[in-house]
Amino acid sequence: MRLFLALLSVLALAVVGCGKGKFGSSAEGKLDHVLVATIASNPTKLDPAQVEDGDTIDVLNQIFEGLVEYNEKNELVGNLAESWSVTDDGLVYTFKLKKGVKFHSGREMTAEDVKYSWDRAAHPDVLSGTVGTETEAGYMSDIVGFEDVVAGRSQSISGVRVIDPHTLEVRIKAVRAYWPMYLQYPCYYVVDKDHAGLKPMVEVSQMVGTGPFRMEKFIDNQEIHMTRFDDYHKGTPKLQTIKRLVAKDAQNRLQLYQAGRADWVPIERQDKVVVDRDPELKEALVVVDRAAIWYVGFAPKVYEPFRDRRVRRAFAMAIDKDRIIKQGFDSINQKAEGIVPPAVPGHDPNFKGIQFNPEEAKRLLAEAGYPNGRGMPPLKMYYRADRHDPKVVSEMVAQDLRANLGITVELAPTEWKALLELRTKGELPFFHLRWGADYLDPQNFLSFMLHSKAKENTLGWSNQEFDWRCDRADSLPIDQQAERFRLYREAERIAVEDAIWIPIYFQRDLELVRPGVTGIRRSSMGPLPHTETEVVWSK
Amino acid sequence: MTFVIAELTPGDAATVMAGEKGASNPEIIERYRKEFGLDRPFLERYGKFLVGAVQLDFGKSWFPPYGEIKGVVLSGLKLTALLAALAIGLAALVGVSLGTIAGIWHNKWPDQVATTFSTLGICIPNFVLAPVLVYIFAIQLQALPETWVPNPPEGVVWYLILPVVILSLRPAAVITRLTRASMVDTLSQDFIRTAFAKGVPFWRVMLKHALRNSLVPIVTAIGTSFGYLLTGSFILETFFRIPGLGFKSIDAIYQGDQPIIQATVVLFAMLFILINLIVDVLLPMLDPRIREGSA
Repeated sequence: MRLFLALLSVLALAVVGCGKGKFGSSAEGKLDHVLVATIASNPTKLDPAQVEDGDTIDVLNQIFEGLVEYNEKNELVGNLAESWSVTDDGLVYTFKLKKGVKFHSGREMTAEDVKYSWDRAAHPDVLSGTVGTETEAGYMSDIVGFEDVVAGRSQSISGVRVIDPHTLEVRIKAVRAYWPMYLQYPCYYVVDKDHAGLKPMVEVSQMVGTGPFRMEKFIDNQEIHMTRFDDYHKGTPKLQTIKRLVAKDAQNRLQLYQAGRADWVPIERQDKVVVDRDPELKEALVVVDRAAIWYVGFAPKVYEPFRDRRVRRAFAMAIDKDRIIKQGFDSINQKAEGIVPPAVPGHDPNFKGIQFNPEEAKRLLAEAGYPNGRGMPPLKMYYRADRHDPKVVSEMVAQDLRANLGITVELAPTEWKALLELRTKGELPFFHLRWGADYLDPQNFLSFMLHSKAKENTLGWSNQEFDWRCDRADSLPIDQQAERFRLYREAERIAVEDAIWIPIYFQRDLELVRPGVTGIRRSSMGPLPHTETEVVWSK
Repeated sequence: MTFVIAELTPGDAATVMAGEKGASNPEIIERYRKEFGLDRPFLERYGKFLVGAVQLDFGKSWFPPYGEIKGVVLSGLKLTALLAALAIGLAALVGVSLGTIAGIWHNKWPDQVATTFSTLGICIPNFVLAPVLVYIFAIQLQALPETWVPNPPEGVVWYLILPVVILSLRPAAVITRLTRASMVDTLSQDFIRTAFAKGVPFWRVMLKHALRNSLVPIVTAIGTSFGYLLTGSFILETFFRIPGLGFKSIDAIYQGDQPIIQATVVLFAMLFILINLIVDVLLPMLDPRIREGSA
């Protein structure tokens, strides 16, 4: 036995011996002007007309551009468009395009290319899930003539007209103050017609845009390389290369950072303890506000007791959000009173929603006919299975409901694909989900999600008081922003007081950014293209 | 089978491809189904799959980078095969040596050490051993990498050390046991006594006469273990994030990338059969008795 142990320790020493120095070596010898960041999954699409998840958008944002973009102050500003104007009736927009913008292919971009790109995105064979369809609204549905293209009756959106090579005119169906914000969404990005084609892009060589970087290669489940586009219209980017390493789990990402192999990684909240222990990591920690809300939702359509507002309010009062934020999230995330996140203009900082009040909750539930939860049919709470945060919240919500209302909720962690399908069909009785901004306007959180006619509202909730305020605010022109925001805030109060959603928290993310990486710009939508980002190690 | 099961799993690949927004629109889901032929009747798709599978043509992946499935699967297979080969090599080395020693010093202390090792090895599952070893060697000692990283700069093998050790433990234990039993059995036979009587040196008797005659069950065990390692590294590959075949299948299952799931399952089955076949062919070469028996 002693011999065996001796052998084992020799073996162990040998491993340690040859290991030291080789592993754990850091920043030395790293290349200047090369940004190495991780990405949490393989890109889900290559085509801007199709993309919708944040990680992939973050990649495509370097390659393709739209007429407008958000700046660091969350203002909508021109990008490929120099300026735009709208007629007095709020229906016709005229965009003046920037001159001298070149595609990666070297060809100059004109209004024809913008029109082609939009017509293409609407084309049924391009399989865009974001532009909309004939029957359901999407990002392009507001443009006159969109339906004819998406239904295959026409190749050209009649509401989009090329006036001259640098002027584009767009006619929309109804006044929508927030409509120009749609244009920062990837389905409106401008693609090179010589490479794109009327099918979804499936090759890297098709990804030709006007952005600061061009797609170099994409190795499945390994890495993505982008190299700078020297003729970029806002000046040559400082970085030479962007590498994104596919690292699907958080452990892996942290390890890549610690080993000096990646310089910018998102980390999970549970890894914060590791970061807190290490001064070097602590210095690199960045907390990022996201324009996203995590909420608990009810579907009165599916679960009968939820048709009673008192039951929903009782649930809302029984949940101790402060405890969730403190115990579950180390106080990193921000407690949500309302629905519209602070990162979105129009957020109401003074709003206080339904407060934690277990006594009142009990009373309300009894009044509704379920004293101590008796008589409630079995209830399942759905949430996404493969993520940590939803599990934490759902478990704590279930604890609170049991402790404060005597209701036993069965937790149903569900695989994402199946969860989406259930949500679409409106079969989730009680759930915990997230909604992130597609554009920074209250409309995207209120009318878009909860209006009785909204396609996202599969809950079976309709409230006329809520609906008319949204309808009115949606149709007000942009110069009446104050009035719009007032109406949205009223609508938000109605939804929260009627407890169709229980807002839990506004998301904040943690990242490690190595000192030496500078010039990262962000809006509440996420990182902006890396035009100013620079990486210098040698000093 | 694979095809039917993939068919029956809840959630439609088209829903995933359509994305979060598209998924709430039946029209868009329908367009995706059409594009990927999911709207065709079951039997038609099954037939198509079979015809393709026979030619090892599984089409293209449904997700970026939309690669040819054959390439995707083969690149995964390369890593998995390397992992399995290293593990089985280590297991055979450790197992046969320990087993031989245990057999020779039957019921003495080397035997007890070997038996303890093999009992532990059989009892401790991968998913228990993996975190323990990672904790010791990667986190505490910082000697070995915790998980795989893409394009490992220190070389692929460096990142496979821990997984290989863990993966080899069970087969090593099994091989130790078999070798020991087989050696004990062989050593009690007459021809061993004869060899000693003839004055053949000790180690020569052990290695040439005893071990060689004990090899049949061992080679069989190595063969089947290799088969299991090739097809059963799902857990470890997922744990260490090694983009081998197991990892890719799990990934494909999450995404709903049906062509990849089907291709990997078919490949797994083929590999398993192939290895058993190789073992069956190898055995007669090692032991003339089998050759003559079957003739």
